[in-house]
Amino acid sequence: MKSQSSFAFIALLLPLLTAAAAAEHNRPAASPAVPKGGCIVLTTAAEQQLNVAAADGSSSVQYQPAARVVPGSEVVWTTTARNNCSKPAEKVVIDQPVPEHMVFIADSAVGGGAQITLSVDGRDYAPANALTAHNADGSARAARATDVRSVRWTLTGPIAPQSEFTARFRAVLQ
Amino acid sequence: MKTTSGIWLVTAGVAALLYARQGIAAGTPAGTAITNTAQVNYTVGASTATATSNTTTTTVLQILDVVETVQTPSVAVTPGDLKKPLTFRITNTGNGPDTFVLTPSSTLAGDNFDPVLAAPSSLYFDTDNSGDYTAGDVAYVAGANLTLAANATVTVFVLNNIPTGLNNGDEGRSQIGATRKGGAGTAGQTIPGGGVGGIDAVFGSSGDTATQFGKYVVANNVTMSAVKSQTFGDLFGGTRPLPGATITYSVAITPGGTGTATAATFNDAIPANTTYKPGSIKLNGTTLTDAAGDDAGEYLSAPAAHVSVTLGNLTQASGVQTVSFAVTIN
Repeated sequence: MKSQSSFAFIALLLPLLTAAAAAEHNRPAASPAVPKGGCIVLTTAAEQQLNVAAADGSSSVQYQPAARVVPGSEVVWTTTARNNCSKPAEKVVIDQPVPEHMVFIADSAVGGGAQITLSVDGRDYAPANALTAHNADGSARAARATDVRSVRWTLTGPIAPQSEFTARFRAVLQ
Repeated sequence: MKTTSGIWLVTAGVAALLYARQGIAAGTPAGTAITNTAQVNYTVGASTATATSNTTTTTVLQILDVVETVQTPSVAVTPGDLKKPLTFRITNTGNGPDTFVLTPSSTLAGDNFDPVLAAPSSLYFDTDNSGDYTAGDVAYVAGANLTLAANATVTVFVLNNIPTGLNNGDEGRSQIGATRKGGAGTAGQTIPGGGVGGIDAVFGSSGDTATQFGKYVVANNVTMSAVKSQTFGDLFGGTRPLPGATITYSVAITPGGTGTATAATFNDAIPANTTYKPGSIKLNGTTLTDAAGDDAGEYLSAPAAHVSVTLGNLTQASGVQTVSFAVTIN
């Protein structure tokens, strides 16, 4: 009686396993859940926002690559995470440093469906209103935008197969 | 109370903003490469993976900017002064080395007189960092290149000679212009390859040219000292103060200090119990009439008897003025 039940369980499971194997077989590189090349391709771009005036007096916002900038100008970093696998990517956390010489613009980090936290040291992250920094004498104080050295997007949901998540923040060149 | 507090906060906000702008003025050095790479951690099924993005590289262009300030907006002078300095500070507020040419000028509008640029050199650097023009300071050669590192400041003096014949309060302006060697531009204009290491250069808000003027003011701190002496001549050929004797007063007026005493007038009352001796007024040995209007001297009997001599504009250079007159003892 006991062995019968065990057999029935295996029989029930077998078609599922076969289906999974077939799905993997269709992929060029048969691999475990995360293939060798990874599922997520992360692309980042540094851009400058331009307000282009039209002939009718209206203006539209355009982005152009920020290959060369002058002090005082604003740079927008846009990072796109694309899931190239057939399975959802979960527990996605994207970290992007605020580069040296750049000053983070308060409240400029955006990314739909993600909790955004900031860090003053690239190690510990907290929401903007809970972020602390240290004075020269070691005492703690509320962090300012100028203290922010890294931005983290913790996605609240998965990135579906063949889908993208876009994160963005702005900073000013000192 | 609430309103007051609000105003204070606004003021503090402006101060913070100014500080921030000054921070930007220093600027990230031209040519700096700003790189950025993002990282992602995720799981698919039971596996965890990490990936990094491409690296973006943004090059900091050279911004061309200069600020000039006048350290001595107003300097007190005396007509005839030589090599009087005005002090200026010129700062490269760009983010890379920049070369400037300095140009002095003293023939400016908006003043009462033109100072005369000192020769052969009118511009000097504060070589010894004393803050004042001193013998050890080195002259700027006209048209020479002045290269300043990013955020570097140089103190420059412009030396002028002050003309004579000026009035108190007269102002004379003199300026220094500092302009990029290759010429000024308009804010935002790009010079391809014009920056350090061949990167592009962009003109900042100043257009990489700045001019400030200072002014010389003929100071009104002239001093006048007068020394009065008297000699007696009695009717008997002696020097006793007897009735009928003559007293000759001599007053030596010495102008000093800086500036000009304009329309200086000498007035002296005829002492009690004496009578003015007609025709006795002399200025520097020259006899003047008692009548008004024909020359500088005048005797007036009312409201109180006195002599009056118009001395005109006096400076230290005018020297001692001697007025004399005589009275007889009643």
